[in-house]
Amino acid sequence: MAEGPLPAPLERLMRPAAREDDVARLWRSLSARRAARSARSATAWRAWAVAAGLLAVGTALVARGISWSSSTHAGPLMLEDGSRPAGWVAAGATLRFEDGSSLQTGADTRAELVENDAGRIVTALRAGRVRFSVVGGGGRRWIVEAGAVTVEVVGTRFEVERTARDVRVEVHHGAVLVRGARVPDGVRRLSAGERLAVPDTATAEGESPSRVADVEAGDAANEVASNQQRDGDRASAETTGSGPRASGETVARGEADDIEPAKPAVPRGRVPLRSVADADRSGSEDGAWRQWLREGQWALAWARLEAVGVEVAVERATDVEELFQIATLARLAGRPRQALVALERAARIGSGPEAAVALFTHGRVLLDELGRPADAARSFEAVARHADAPADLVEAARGRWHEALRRAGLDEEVSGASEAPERDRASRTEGREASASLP
Amino acid sequence: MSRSAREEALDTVQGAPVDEDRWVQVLRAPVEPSDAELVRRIRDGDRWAEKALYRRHASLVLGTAVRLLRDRTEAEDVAQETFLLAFESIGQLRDAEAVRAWLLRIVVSRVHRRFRRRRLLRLLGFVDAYDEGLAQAAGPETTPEQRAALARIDRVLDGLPAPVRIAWTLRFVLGASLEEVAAACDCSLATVKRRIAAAQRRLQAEAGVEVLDG
Repeated sequence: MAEGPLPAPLERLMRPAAREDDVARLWRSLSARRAARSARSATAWRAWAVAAGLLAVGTALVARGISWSSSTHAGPLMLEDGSRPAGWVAAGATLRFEDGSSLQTGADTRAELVENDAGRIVTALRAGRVRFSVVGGGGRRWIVEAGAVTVEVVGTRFEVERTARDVRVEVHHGAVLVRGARVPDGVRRLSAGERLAVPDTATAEGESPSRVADVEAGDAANEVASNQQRDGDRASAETTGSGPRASGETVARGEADDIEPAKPAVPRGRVPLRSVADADRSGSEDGAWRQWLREGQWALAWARLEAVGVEVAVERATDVEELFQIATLARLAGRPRQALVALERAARIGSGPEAAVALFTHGRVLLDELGRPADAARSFEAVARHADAPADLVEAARGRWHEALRRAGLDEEVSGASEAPERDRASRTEGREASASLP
Repeated sequence: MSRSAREEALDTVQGAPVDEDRWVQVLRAPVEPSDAELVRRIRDGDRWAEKALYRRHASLVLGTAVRLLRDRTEAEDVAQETFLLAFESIGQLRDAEAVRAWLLRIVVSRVHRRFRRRRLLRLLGFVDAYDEGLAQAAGPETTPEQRAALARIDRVLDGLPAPVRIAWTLRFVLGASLEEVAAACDCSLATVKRRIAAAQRRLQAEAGVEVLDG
């Protein structure tokens, strides 16, 4: 017989029913089942089609120009040999896909397939030239990320070349959409025979963090001069983009000439660090992930962030909010360890409550996503000791600290935990030194 | 765009009420889309949004299935079936903000099917055993008395009709509100209250256990 009534919900008395690894494993199984179901569905459809009359169905499909393989494909687009393309594409290589599409890289090209699923294939072009021949009808979008521009197509033949100065898109057949901050009106449709050259912000405008630091120091005159220099670079790049064409080419009229500066000129006088940093890096290679993030494209944001290097981005981050964004992206991408890197730096550079929030989240990731209760306990304890942590956050941290200690099996510490609030209050004067105690 | 972590932190300094959930929200808010936004993107064919929706609700779905079925293998099957069905029929979801309630309703309906199958198997002479009853799932901090009480609850639950068992478990094990239970079980609030009261009476009489409604 129980000694007293049990408190609801009973869930509190139990081990978590769904752990992070269960959730991840279940997703893999779910994806496999969906793929299998889709394949079965396709098989059933084909059987029905046979019963209805192979000849009629086949004729209809051919007449409509539908690619059977691509229209029924639910997973990634595979190569002709059945393998799945991923990662870097070798220079001078030709990838032939099962739907008849192909991708051909130049001799000194650096290109990477960063996403490949039923909905789209995303290629990141770092440098050089890639020729695409995309077979339409499957509904899968092909997207090329090339610094300043994004090219999007459904079915066509085109080339993208990224040089040190600009990005050039040339369409041989069909049509493409070119997007980017430096593309007129943000987006331009190119048809067969047209070509567009856009200054590549990654190279034309990429600025070092030290220049931003100069602005923060109040060197406004240098900043204005720097802007004027950049405008000069841009004009030069535009001239290159609208230069002599190969014989027989049709150039979209005014396409290069009417490229306007995408961002307003920086006003004279002292410029806030944050606005300059945002404006300058929004189009750069390592700033592209922020742009995707602002547009709500998390998968692409994460892909770009990984391309830059999460650790590099964390080191370059100028404020805590950006570090939180990196950490959240990492968590959404299922990379809690990389989230920890961002949160640790946020805890170190953050001022006041922000650092305490970073520490608290650090503990949550360790406890809830990585199953490391002993390490998590240290983070929660650091929150409780943090001089600037708000009282209610401290209370929450104490609760999680107890939970972490129990889950770590540190019973003797739990038994003494009731004295912890007093100890914490006494030691909160230690202030930000708590951040240094991160596991 | 939601408010920044910096603004939230300043609120805290100024004395705004804060609880743990709110702090968690602070970190997610800058980039996390709403359920409605994810549903819209899934309908547009965004596979990433599917995964995001899954990650957001997987713990709820799997946890509910485990507690209701008390069998991890079956629960994982049910969780998969739930998301399969959800992704296939997301176009029919009228209120895109009500994803959580919708998923719970699917889980409960799939669990009902499992219970029917178990009953059939029992009639055919197969043993109906589970591997993750309340007592087995008890955490390390649970006292021996509480563990014994949970074991008695497990035995009483075995003898309850499925609708009664489900309503009581959703309410007293998982902590769902009465409205959530009614929505998940697709019945009226009065029916839910009646079922829960019946379960409470049986638990009191047969197991000598009282579970306080939090």
